[in-house]
Amino acid sequence: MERKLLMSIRGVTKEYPGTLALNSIDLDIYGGEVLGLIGENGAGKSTLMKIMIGAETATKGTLEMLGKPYAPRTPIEAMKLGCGMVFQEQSLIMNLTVAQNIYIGREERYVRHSIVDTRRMNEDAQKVLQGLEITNIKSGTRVNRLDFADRQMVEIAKVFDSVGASEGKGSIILLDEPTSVLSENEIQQLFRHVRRLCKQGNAVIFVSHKLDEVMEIADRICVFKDGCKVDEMPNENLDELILYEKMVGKTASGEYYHVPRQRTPERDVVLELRKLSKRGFFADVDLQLHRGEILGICGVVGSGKEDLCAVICGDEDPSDGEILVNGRPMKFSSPAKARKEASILSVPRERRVEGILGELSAFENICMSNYGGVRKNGFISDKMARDQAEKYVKELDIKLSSVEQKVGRLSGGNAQKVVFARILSSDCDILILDHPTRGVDVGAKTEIYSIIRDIAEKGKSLIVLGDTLDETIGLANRVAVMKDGEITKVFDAPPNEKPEQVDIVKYMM
Amino acid sequence: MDSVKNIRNKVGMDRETMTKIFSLFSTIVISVVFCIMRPTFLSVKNITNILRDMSPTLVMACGVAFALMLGSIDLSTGTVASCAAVLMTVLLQEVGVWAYPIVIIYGVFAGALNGLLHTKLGVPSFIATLSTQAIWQSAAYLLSGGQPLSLLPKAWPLVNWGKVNILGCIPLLFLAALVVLLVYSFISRYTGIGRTVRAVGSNERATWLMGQNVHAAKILAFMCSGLGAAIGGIFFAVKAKSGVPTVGVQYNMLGIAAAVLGGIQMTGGKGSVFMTLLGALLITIIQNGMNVVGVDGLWQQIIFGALLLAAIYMNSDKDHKGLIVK
Amino acid sequence: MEKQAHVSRIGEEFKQEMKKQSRRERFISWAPVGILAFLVILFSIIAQGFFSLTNLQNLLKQLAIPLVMSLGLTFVILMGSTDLSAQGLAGFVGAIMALMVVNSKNANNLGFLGILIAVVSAIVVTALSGLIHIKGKLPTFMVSYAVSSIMQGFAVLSYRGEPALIRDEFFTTMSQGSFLGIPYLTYIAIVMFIIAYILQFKTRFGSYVMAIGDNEGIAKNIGVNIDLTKFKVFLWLGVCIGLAGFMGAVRLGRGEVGIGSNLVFPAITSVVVGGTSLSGGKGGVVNTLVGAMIVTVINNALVLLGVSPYVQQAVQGMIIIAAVAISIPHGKNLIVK
Repeated sequence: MERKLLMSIRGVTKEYPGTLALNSIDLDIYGGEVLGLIGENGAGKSTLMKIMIGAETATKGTLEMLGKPYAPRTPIEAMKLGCGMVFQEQSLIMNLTVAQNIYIGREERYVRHSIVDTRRMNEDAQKVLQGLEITNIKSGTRVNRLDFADRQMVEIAKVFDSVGASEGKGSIILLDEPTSVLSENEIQQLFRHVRRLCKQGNAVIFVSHKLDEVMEIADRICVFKDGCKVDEMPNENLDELILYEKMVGKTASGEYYHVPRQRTPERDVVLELRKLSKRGFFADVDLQLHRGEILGICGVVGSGKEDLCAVICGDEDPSDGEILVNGRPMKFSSPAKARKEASILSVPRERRVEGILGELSAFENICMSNYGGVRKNGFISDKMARDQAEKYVKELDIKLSSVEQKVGRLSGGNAQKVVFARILSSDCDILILDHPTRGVDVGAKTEIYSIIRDIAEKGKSLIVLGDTLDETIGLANRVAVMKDGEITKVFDAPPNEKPEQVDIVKYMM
Repeated sequence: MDSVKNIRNKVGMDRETMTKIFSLFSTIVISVVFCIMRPTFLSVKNITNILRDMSPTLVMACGVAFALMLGSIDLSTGTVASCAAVLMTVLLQEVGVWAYPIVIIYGVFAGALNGLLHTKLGVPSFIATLSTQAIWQSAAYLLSGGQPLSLLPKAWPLVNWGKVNILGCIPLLFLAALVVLLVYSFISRYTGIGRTVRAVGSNERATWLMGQNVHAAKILAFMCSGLGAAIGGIFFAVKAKSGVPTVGVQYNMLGIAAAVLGGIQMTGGKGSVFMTLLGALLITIIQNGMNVVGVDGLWQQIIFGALLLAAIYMNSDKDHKGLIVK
Repeated sequence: MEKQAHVSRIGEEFKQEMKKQSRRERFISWAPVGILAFLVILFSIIAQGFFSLTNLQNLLKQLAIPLVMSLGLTFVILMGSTDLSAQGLAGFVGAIMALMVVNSKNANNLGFLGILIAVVSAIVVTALSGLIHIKGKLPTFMVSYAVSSIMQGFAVLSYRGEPALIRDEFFTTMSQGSFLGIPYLTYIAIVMFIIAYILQFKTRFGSYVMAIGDNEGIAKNIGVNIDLTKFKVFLWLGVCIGLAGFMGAVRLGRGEVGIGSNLVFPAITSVVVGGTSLSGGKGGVVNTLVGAMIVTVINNALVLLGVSPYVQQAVQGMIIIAAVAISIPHGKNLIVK
């Protein structure tokens, strides 16, 4: 089959303040192919896709579609030009019908005297569904009556139709983790649609963390790492593990993670999970955390590691099982209870929304997790809070004009250090670090690793969900691997014999 | 609009300060205007009047300020005050001086009810308080039989303190209001839970994950609001020696307006309880001045509504592009 | 093979949870109808005179005004916003409408033009408060609260003292008369309901309002003109408040500010009790019709049962809390303001 060039991407770069999300990407997309896109979190895949569908604009570089310059400003414009995306989080309006959802924003054809011709719209929508061999969905049903997998199909049908995939002019469809809610049968059905679309001359870009699926469907695979395209190869005789190695790249040196400072944890168990479950998220998790230990948890997106942490820190409720702190069973109705009764505190993932009070000053933020430390005669003293903040600013080398500065104005690294100052001032014994270095520049990263080592040296226990697998291994005394909501393996990671990434990956996939 | 922004950038002011300066400036200008129109406006007697009239507005405003700081709203303060005034009138005759603690407990209860409905049942604050507002209005009517109640002369000694002026010009009533204000700003500044109230307004999710008791802070805020309203109701009863079942209705809006004019931001997190003093002063001066000058009292609601609108507009965060406001 | 079993465990559980949730939602969506039926049966037994033709006519008449008002509010609440301005605005509209037609206070005789002026002024006011909300990014409950207060002031100011009594024969007969056994005012409500139904289900506007209420971010990505849609919602609200205010004045026979305060609460109650979610994106005008019926039936029965009118508001207050508490999504870490 002749390969028709649909889109060419040249030198596309995207800079966010402080970070380079995409670094000069060149990529060609041909009609009739499935392009697999793989890479770790933050490797730049999603940024590239956002640029392709007009949700973001590139800082540098050009895109061409069918030989013409292509620079959509909104997703809707991109769709009209023939490029659409099926989002991981569904973008359907629950209380509208399937047909209304498929045509929303594009109803002009069906409107006469301001009234939408529902019947004709339903019929056409049914045809679109039939075209995708979806027969079990009636186009007049409201979406909230459908089950999750059917909704995903509607979502896909909507994008397929809106980019004009059936017209054969060559459209591009981006699928972002489309299989996470589908069963094996449904995945196979989806793959059939994808192949048929490609036969019609369209291109499908398939993004997934599940390497086996990517290898099953893709004709060509692109590997992203740290904002760069590290490799691009046809999908022939590839090995999952080799692909994975390309994804994570070289292991950083032990120095980077201050491995020589890694301590042997004490024997006593501070936190124990017994058959801990949360229905639909993770099941029967048994884990022990020792005093002074750093326990890394790794797994792909959807493995349940984030939900596990949310349960431990009291943000969500478990459905079953026990949490024992120092041997005593505990139930936390809120993070406040977890902090006060079990001395558990978390560093949340989304710093701006979950970790800091952006409108308040640094010193107010730092004392937020423990007013006890800044009380005088039972009442809070601003002076003590300031002094405490000054102390941590020096200790952690936080760069700010004064402790009165609003935290919302600080850079990612400095804001994260403020979060760590708060964690330190809380004096909690069990800390849960959910992506502690996300959105932090390289220099600040190694400083944060050093802070984490300091905390462990003080005899505190930590659970770390690293931003990358390498980070998790580098920091941890032990690494627990999660897959589909269960712990599949726990590795020991003493300083001199850290486990290999590839070995761990075997238990993740 | 741009020029205002430029000035703000140059001076380095934030919105809260802008609003305070606006309030202060308006207070001065309006005082001067009234004073020119009617020189008696600044007489000692009139100032005493202003301070006395200001007392209920002030306590209700500093109460509702707590709810506003959460980013929530309390629409029930007006009828809680009405109900408290009626209850006070009835109880003074029945149980004498015990009326005071009972009505205060009632206020705390009414506030706690709002707080519990809001936090435990997850009902948005404006709906919860709109509903309790109706409930307390009904209670006030039932208690008074729909008619204004006058306090029997035998109970007058218990409320005569409302007429007392210290140093001949400062009403005791105002001093009582000031004490409430000081206690409230102390709670807001120097206690953990008071600080949590502000933090919740700034970022509720983060405050929750920081391990602060968000629900307790919310309940406290509504309790403060209810208590302030009940004290306002006591003041009404003491001032007028009567319990009118609709006396507080208008004061819900006045209290909110006073708090917002004092720099409390609707999206929460900012402003100090103490500055509601300024907002309450501005509002009372306008009310009083209109009486002194002889403007129809019917204009009041229009003026205060417009003032409230202007103040929330000034306080709001308009620079934030992606902000979704419902 | 073992791998497959693991995959399905969490996945199956997740699917079961989703199913449970949608069953619950379906149950709740039918609950208002069940409650209505239950109330009708209950009151037929315990309230004498409830189940009679004259009372049915009464019910239809009492239903008309809150229904019209709540049809306007429905779209606002579907969007996830709120509006409290009806309180002052409906009173204002009623007051000036009474002053425009033949009345006890002045020599005006504008007839239908009076209605038009009243309704248009309501639209202008809601349009303005909509603009302030959209452009100023201020929360609707706050804006509408201030606007309500302002309009209440204007309403009282417009008649100074005694409200105007309507002396125009056309309007006085309108409040009493009926055609085919159905009161005139109810016809207006029926027409408004049909229009609202078409707006919600047969126009782009209806879908867009739903989209905004469901998830404003998605709506934006889909290409919905958010600001314009919101503005239109406020225009529609103006039409409804204007008509409700006019109907209130006609029914009462005079134009006074109290029309609004008696209206806004039943209207919000109707919308919420009908099952339209305060967080937006769920429910609609059919729900509102059921909700308005429930509220009307309760109020009507309370009167028949001889309950003090003072208590009625309190009863409504409790109903609204119960309805919201049941229908709102629960979760300990959800953020509710």
